[in-house]
Amino acid sequence: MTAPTGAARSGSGARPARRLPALLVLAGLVLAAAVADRSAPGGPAHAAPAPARQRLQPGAAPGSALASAWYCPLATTAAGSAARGLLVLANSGDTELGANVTVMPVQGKAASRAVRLPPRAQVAVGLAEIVTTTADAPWVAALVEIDGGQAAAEEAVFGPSGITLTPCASSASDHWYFAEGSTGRDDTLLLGLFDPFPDDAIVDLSFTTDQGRAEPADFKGLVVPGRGLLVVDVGQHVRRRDLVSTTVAARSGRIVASRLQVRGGAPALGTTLDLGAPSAGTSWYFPDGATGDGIVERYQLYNPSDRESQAQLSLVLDQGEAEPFHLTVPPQGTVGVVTSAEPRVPKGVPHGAVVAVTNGVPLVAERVVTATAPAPRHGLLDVLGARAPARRWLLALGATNPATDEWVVVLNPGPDRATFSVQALAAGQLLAVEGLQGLQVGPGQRRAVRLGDHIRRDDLALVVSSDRPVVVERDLYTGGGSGMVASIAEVG
Amino acid sequence: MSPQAPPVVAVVTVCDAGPWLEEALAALGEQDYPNMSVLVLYPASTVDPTSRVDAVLPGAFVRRVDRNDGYAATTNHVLEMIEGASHFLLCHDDVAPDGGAVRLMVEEAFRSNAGVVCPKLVAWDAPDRLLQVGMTADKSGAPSALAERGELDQEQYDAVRDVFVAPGGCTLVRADLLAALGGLDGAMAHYGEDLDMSWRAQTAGARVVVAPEARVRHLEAASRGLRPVGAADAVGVSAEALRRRHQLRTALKGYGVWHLARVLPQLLVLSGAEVVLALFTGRLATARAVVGAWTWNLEHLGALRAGRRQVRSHRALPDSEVRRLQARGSARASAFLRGQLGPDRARTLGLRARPAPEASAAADGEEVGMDGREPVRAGPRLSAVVWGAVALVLLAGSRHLLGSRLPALGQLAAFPRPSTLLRLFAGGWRTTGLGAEAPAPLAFALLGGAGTVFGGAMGLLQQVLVLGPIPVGAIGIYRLARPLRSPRARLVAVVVYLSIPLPYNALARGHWGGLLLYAAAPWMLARLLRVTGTPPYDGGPPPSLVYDALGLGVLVTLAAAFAPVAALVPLLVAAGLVGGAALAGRPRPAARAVAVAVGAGGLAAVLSFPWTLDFVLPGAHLSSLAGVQGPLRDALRLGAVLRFQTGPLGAAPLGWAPLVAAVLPLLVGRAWRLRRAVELWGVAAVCWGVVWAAGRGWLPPVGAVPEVLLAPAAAALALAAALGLVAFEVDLPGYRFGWRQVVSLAAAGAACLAALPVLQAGAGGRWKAPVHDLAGVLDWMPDKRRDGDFRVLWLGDARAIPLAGWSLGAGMAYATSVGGPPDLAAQWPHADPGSTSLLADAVGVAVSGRTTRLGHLLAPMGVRYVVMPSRAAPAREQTPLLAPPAPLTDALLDQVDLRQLDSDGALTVYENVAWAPTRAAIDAAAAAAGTRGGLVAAQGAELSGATPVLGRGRGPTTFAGQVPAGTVEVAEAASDRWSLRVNGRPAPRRTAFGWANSFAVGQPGRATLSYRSSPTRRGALVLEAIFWSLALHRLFTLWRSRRAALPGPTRTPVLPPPPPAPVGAGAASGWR
Repeated sequence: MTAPTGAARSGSGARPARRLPALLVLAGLVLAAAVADRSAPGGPAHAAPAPARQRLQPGAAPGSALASAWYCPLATTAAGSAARGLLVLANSGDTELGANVTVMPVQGKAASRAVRLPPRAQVAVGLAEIVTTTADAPWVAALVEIDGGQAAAEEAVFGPSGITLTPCASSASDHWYFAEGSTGRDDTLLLGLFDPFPDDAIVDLSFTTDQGRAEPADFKGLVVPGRGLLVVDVGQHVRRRDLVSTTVAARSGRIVASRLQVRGGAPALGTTLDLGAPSAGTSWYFPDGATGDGIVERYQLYNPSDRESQAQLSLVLDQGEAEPFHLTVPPQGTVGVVTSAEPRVPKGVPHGAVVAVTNGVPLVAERVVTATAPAPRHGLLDVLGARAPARRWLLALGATNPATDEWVVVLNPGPDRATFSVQALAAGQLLAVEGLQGLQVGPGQRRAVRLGDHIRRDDLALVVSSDRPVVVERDLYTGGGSGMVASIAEVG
Repeated sequence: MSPQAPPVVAVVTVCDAGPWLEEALAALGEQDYPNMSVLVLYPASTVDPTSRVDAVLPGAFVRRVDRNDGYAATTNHVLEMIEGASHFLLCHDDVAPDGGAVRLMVEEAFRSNAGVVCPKLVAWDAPDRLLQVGMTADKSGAPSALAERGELDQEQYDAVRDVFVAPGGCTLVRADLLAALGGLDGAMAHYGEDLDMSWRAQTAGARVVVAPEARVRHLEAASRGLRPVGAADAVGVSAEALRRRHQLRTALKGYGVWHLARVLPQLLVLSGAEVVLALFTGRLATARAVVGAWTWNLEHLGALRAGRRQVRSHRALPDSEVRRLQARGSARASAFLRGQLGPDRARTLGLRARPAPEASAAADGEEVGMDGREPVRAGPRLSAVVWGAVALVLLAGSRHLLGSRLPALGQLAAFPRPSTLLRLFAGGWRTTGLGAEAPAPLAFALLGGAGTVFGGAMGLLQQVLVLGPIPVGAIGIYRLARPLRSPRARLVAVVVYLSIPLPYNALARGHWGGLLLYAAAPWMLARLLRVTGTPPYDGGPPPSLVYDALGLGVLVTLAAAFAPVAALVPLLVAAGLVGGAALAGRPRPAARAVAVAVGAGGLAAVLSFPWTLDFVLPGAHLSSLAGVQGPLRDALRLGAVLRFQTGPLGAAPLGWAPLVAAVLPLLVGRAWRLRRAVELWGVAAVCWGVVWAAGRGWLPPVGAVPEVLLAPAAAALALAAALGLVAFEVDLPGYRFGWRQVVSLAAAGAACLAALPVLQAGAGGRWKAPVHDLAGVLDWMPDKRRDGDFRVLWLGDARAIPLAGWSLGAGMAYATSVGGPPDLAAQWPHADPGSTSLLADAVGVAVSGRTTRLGHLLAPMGVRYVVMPSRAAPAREQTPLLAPPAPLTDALLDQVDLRQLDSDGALTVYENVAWAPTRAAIDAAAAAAGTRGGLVAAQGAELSGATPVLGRGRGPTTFAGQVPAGTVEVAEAASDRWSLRVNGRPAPRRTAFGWANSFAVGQPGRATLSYRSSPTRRGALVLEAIFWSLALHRLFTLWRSRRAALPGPTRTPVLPPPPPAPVGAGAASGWR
């Protein structure tokens, strides 16, 4: 430090100010703070929150909920129509719940009915009991508002080609995806767009078909009225496509989208009603699957994004092992794997499947099974994979009687052995199904149980609980007709 | 004595002369003029100088004058005592003419046929430096020097010429002329008689000339504080006041009627402008002097008339001729500017006075300046230029905000009517949230009162209170830097303070609290620095803990009334001062600041009573005191905190410039410059640290409006920068050339560069504040009140919602407004949310997926709209994205009874289709549901068919209208002080939905709903008024006693400035 020249010193008795210590301390403070500042402050991120399980797949609200809603998107209430709707509500809680079922037709006025849901019981509500529609505009959607949680709703539709079943949605979304669909000759592909909210939604539809992309102008800016239903016949503008993957994107508002697929031909394969996927995902679970004579099983993967997706389809065989399929799904493209035609998949061996994305680009996966002679059961089965394992599953509709064969299949995708039990909601009782308690399923394994071997009831709502997160699929087979599949996860 | 030379009498008027008298008399004795005699006059009340005169000038006559009426009156006795003289040489007792001066002046008087001749006046100790070589004056009598004071005498002015004023000190006057004029104006006890005599002499047709070859040294003893004013009339009156009144008197006397009629309005305008300028620059004494000049002349109107008659009696020339030699325009204004920009020679002239005792080194062990050197003084011209530029920049930068509605951003909500604010304050019912019985903030009373003063022009009041803090802060920092005794340093403080982006960021973000603290921080800092009693804040009366705590407490109370967290500011500043002082090695004086800060905080708590209770009673949320802080993830990083980058301004690298400027005194300062700089950096470090640590969640969340706590840091930095200039002027010359000079240049450059971002921001005319606001987007909402009154529930990032609320966690907040966008009444939520927490509960239920009918839960609360902003201003303004968390947005999307409305991209608006008005007649089923409590009851009630009632508001808590028979639900927090009178009879009240009010109406009729204030509330208001009265009375009493203890306005200044009016008006009279 340069000494002052010619400067008078401080007055007598004055202590000079300490420059160096002051500078060092101040600089030290700043330095220490700068080091501490390098780590970003904590706190929850707003950018990419983990989506709630209910947003991945239908799920019941918790028992502490004041209210929950289910959106059941597409059915008919016209006499003699192809898909007459039936709602099945199940209350797995300990208290009676009030519910209000509002049926909203495509045309006409909505009507409501109050329903009591006894504890641990199942209630069926025919939609035609609330609103009757005409054959010209037969379609309805239903909003089920329940004064509490631990309750679920499923929708079944009956028609000439059999019965099909789908869980109602527990939340709406601004996007919906369908990997599968067909507008081929004799096929009918309908989309039900249900807006359960007071405000209108504006929706764009786009398609990936076996002949390329299709974005019909007539499917742009579709107005889905608030508290209303819009049914779109895809075949009117996307004609004669054997494979149609669909993206439903809402510009404003949120909706619930479902697909009614009628496979015609001679003989008709059947009808399937499916809720769409509210988002693409990186993991999809299919607890059940089958190959065999007369059975064609296909996994259809749809990539709605603008980036290429790479995925692995792994089969979980009850016996033996199969090499996984490594698949590349182009942007806005679709890829199908017909496992029944693959030599690496042994015929007649039941299996589950897991689709896992390997490059982070999510996709949508569906499983389609057609069964014709010489298969023991005939029909069409189309199911969207499950997105998230859970410890508790609620299956609202079911039956075990001479006309109906019901199976529950549990897939354990986790690394630990899971123990599960099956209980029935039997008129106010939570009935442990004999022989189905404390069953174990190994890691990465599946286990199928035939309910008819343990319990026989015409109204069989089930609760499947496990000590580890598992995925549960319920298969219903009606006397030689089409198989039906549904899965509902209840948030526990 | 030569009979050929005209007889000249030198009249020396002596008054308590100091040791210079002998030298002055000796100089007269050494004159080579052959026919000169010396007459010494002295007033009776002063020391008899006879012996001293005899010792030096035995031939001189010494005469005693009975009364001491000042220099002019004493000198006038010569007219009675002397006959036959040709000329009088009117001399002060502190002038020393060169040996031939008198001869040269007499020769020139005859050569030029002049009535009055003045010499060249030079400095007593430095004869090569000019003081005056004659002078002029403008139409108002304001003098103006013809030579620059302190200028080196290189004979550049050595030409005889006519001048308008012969400066006092040593003036040769023709004896008959002086007699004709009636002598000097005796009413001018001190100062200004030279101007008056010169003016009148010219009116009488005499020439006034300067004879520069005649050189006279002049001590200017009085101006330099070497002796007090002696005349009775002048005691207790400042020199400036005397000059002003006498200049005005001269002007009023000197003009004829018609000319006076023309000039008088100009004088009034000039005086008014000068008063405004003086007030603006904090020169209260000048303002007083200007006003006092007028009042004094009005009081002496009779004497003025007599003077005018006398001038009229000897007038030989018209005013137009007399004004020939006057300065054009305003000599005062031009002298003001010229004096400011010109180099100041006072220092080199040795005009520096002795240090004031209280500031002396002995008092503190400090030297005043290195080598006794004082900081370089800047004249008023530089100040005027800088302040003019500041005013220009502020006006230009605010041009689009001035006169137009301010954007209702953050805390800048519209002001309600004064009556509403006063009713809210007095009533004791809070309209925030779901309503509550809670004390109202003091701000309501202050704004209500101010609004009344403004005649209800609340928009104007808002502009004053929002835009005013920036200039007030600048003035505050200017005053804060005054003890540095360097006008340039004060200007540096102003420039650096204004260059700190804090106020502009606060404005752009709608942080009114930050703006207010920006204005208050310098004043708070000044109080706390003064209480330490260490240089340079050791001038004036000694610090008083009580007085300073009272003053600071009142200031803190006023600030905390609007930004409650401001109550912490004095404590932070005091802590910083102590920390810094400890670093500098002397913590004890700074410890007094802690005591004052604590006292001030306590006083603020008392003066804010009972509002204070709201913050300390159980259930109070900290967010009501400090606001809800944004998400931790978005906390200000250290660099942003240091650069005050709380908004769009302050980005690196220029954002660092103020810090670079402020670091200079740490590197080159010595003694108190260094010590104070360390303390100020300590203040800044504490403020920065608190804001930064609070942002990271290590301290309670007190940084919702970071500018509040950063404002003292800004003031401290600005003052440190000013100290840097003082150190540059005082300390740097003592060092050899090296890195310090380079650092100084860098600091100077940084101080200049720091202003660039502010200038750039000001170019837009609104300091980057948005043009549009969310209130504008929602301007349709108030029209919906025709369907019944309702609430708007605001949810989202605390920084995005335009009102204060309560925390929802993770930086989210909720709040309500009534009937549309919020006004100012919603800015200070009650501390204990009470029933209002039901809103958060309902939202929580929705977010956790436990309801899809949030609208039903909100319906009994009168919530019609749910607004969720993702930006603080409409999307086109491009303010930062403050998106609410996805679970919240998704939860609202999932509600089947909320209708999303089209709106600006910056906010999502839902209409609750299940809503009910806040005052509604409900059906029996809903009433039955309301008998239960909590959200479950709301879930089960269907209120959408409710009928609005009691629609006519007579204030915030009184409503009237027709009601049907049945149940009337009032969506205000339950209180038995709500009453409904139907047809004059009270309706029974019960609690509805567990929190609201329900009235059973038996018969339909006209009804009035009102809230009755509690006696406790009224008592608390009385108590609050008493507290204020006591505090203000005590403060005033102390202030008066401290003022009385001061020596008086004419006391010797610490550094007596050279006279602002160098000559003319007798500014440098040695006699005084």
